[in-house]
Amino acid sequence: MYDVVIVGGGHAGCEAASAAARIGAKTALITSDPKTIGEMSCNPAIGGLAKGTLVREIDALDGIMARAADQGGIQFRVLNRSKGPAVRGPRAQQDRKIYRESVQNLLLDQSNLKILPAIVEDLIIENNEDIARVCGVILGDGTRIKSRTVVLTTGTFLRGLIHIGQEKFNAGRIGEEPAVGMAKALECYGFEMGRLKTGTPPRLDGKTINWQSLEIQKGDNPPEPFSYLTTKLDNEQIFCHITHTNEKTHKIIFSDLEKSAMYSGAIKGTGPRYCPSIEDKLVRFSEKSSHQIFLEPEGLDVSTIYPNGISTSLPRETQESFIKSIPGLENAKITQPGYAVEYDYVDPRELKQNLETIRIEGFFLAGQINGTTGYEEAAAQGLVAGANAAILAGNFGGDHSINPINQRSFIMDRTESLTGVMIDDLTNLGTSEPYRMFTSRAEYRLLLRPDNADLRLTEKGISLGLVSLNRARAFQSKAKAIAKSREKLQNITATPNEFAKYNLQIKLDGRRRSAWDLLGYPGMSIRKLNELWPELTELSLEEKKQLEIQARYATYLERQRVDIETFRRDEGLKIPTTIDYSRIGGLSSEAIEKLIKVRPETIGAAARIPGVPPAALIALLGYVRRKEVY
Amino acid sequence: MKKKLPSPRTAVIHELYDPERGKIIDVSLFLWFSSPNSFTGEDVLEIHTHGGRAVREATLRAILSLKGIRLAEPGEFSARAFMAGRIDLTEAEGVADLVAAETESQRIQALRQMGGSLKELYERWRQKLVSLLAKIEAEIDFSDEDLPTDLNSVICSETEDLLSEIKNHLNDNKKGQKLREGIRVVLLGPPNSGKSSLMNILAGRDVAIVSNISGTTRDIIEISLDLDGIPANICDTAGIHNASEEIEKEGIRRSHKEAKISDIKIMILDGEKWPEIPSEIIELFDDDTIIILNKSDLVKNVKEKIVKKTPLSISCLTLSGIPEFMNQLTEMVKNRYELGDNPLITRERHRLAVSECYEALKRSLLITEIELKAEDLRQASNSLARITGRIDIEDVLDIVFKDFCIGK
Repeated sequence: MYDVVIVGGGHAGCEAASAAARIGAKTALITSDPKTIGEMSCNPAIGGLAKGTLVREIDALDGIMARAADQGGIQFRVLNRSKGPAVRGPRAQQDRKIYRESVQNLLLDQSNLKILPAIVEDLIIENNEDIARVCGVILGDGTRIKSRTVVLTTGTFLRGLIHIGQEKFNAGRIGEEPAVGMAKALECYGFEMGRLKTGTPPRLDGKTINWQSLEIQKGDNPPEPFSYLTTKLDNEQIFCHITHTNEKTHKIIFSDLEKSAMYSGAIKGTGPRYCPSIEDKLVRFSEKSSHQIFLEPEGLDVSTIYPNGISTSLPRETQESFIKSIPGLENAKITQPGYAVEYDYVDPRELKQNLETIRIEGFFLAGQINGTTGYEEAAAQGLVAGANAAILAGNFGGDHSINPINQRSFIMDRTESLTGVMIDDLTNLGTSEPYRMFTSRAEYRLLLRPDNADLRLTEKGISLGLVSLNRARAFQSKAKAIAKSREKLQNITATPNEFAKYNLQIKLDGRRRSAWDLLGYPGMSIRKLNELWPELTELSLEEKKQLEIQARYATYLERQRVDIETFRRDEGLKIPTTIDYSRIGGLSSEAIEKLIKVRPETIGAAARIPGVPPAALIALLGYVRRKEVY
Repeated sequence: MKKKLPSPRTAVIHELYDPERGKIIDVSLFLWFSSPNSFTGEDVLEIHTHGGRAVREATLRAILSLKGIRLAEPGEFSARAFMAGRIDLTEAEGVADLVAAETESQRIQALRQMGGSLKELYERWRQKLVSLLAKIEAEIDFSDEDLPTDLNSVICSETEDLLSEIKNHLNDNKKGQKLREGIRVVLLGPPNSGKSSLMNILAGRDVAIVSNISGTTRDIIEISLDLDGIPANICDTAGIHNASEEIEKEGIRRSHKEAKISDIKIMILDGEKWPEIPSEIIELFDDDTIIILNKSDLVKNVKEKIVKKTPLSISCLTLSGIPEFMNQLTEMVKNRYELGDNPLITRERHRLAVSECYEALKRSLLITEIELKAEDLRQASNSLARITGRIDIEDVLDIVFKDFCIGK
């Protein structure tokens, strides 16, 4: 009997397994081929804008993605480095093999975790009165594995169908069987399902590329790691190269457009708007005569190149010929053609905020099965699902003692993490295209930064038992140093004339300011305040940086704090699950329909449903308030 | 009306029966609007009976005897239309204003607002804000993509355009609100100059006590007038002088307060005492002041200008000069407050939201960091959203993906 069984060894499955085991749950990860655990099926990079923040949030809760990416990183680059800290995005090209091995090693070293090679075909469900509860899984050979909770992370494998031009075949990834049994089972249990599409570009043999002619893109020096624990990056750092499509390329693609799976109508699923295939880009932006392509190495000792920017579902021959029209790729050999893959996903409105399904108790979904795209989005959900599965298993009588504060679930809300924003969006709004994280989705972007994920989340992780002792100690000393220094800076006050004695020139308006106010001014730094208060030099680089950022954003963060309080108040107004919307006066039938579909857990969540008019919220609020009184 | 419903949106003539007694009440006109194609979005049946109290009362009695039917609360139809999302708040407010309209310009303004003129204006700004947000969010979230290089300057110039448009809208002397609530005209002057007499003439009845005892008026008395379609509230005040008595002092304090908040001042001076004007009265003169000399029946030929204005001679006794005075007042009011073509702010709530939007836009131009600029633009859209409804991030992303070639 396990506490938690994880199905799938992708990025969601790995974080889920690790999180459940870290909490102390007896955990099994079941995957058809353990050698593919931690595989990067698409681009060889981790992080980016918003995604980098998700990775930091995973790390703040002691997850594995950041550490593995630091071990696998071969080119680190912070996107938006020239912009402010709230919108920067750490990103690293990965050696796919090293990354995969790092993930596998981290899982192998994890106590309480067992990895089982098998295919899962169905769930074991027990019906108790009206409540269905999961009790384990059934394997391909009929073996039953009992478990208190199950986390399903099937990625693109649910009825995966690959398209290359007119060719199509069933597969989750090239060369790997799709999961059909599980898809049928989910349908049987009544889950609302849909179909999505994603694509990947052809892979090229780097030995056949003419590198000399191409523009070079360098990484940062020094590189900035993902994990708050990483002090040193070991790998040799490489360059990426940039090339562009041209009119010749476009002509070739246009002439074969109707053979593209996307345009021939063979594909039924919805693809992401922000990750269009090259044929899509040409059609939608026909005025552009050129599109850029990043040539990203897939590893240090393999020659495979990932040409980022030309995902396609054109036939193999067309891919061959349009590749050859691109500067530097004249003789390039394709080692694996680009393809589009269609797969089933479950409408994420089937989920509660802990990622447990509403239909079946103890049954969790995480990753692409919930309609998201991206390794980071998957991993962040995996962590939440794994942690919650472990907590629930504890409540169901698991023998791990995980509930020191007697928590029923681990919910991250919109005010504390991008992960929370993502899960709230998914569970309330659902999604009609593969959902990717953007910083613009976060109302409190200035707060949900990549630099402070630990300050936002680690304490919460510690209280859940998710975080190792090592990290907890390092974090607490950092948090203490920052808090102490901030208080001190706020307490040092002086007039402009007094500040001038320390070489700090400010407007001579006679107004007393604190050193903290000063630090918020553009161009100010801890270094410049050193003279005023020499002990500041004792702070670590990381701590100084954190103080500078907090001070710079202080006025805006204060304004957001008020919004956050309003948000929290609305989130505190729970809508009873037994609510009968048709009995609330003043709700239009359209609003009722939307509310019934989404079943928001709080007034705040109801307010975020598009198409629910403000008046309906007032009516709902009135109803909920009255209920609270009685 | 026992059997089937008439087809929707078609006027039919039919006998109207009393359901209890089965007897005919009237032969009426029926209009059936089936949900959702009605004002409130619900099923609506309109019954047009013949006039006359007996028919009306019999019909109402019959209808109310049916189960689940009650009389509508005041404004309930608009409220239901709003609840159902059929009209937005500005339109609902327009309906309320139209029902309450007492003058021609109030009616026109309300009708325009009900027809969505304010909604259209704010909706256009909202679109502009969404497009601004799309540009700035593209610059933030997709900075590594092929974006136009001049995005920042476009953001800047579009913000400036929107800013000046909003500024014009705010810079309206509160015309719309004044038209809705009535323009404040105050009668001011020294004691016993004839303010209350003029007030009674304007009201066409005795609203104020008139005596030749100085300081008769102590409290503010108010009447409403329709000045060629523009609503005005005229207030009579206590005469201003150095009073010693406590109650009169309080009355004079109120006169000063009224002078401050009024839109137009009518200064009534005593023709007999001309050209002596107490200094505390001179202090109150400004561009919005009409000066009249009362008691022209007692004094002749006043020509001198005071404070660059020719006073108007009237007599509250003989009514001479009153039509001229009314013309001058109406002219002044029309010059300042007549409806133009642009929709006007009609409520303080809107002004507050629009002002906040304006301030946030202004801040966004001053700050250099793009993420803070974006934050100010979000604040601006949140403020406007208090009138127009929330701007969803999906609206912004839609434009980002439509306008820019994003994605690798």
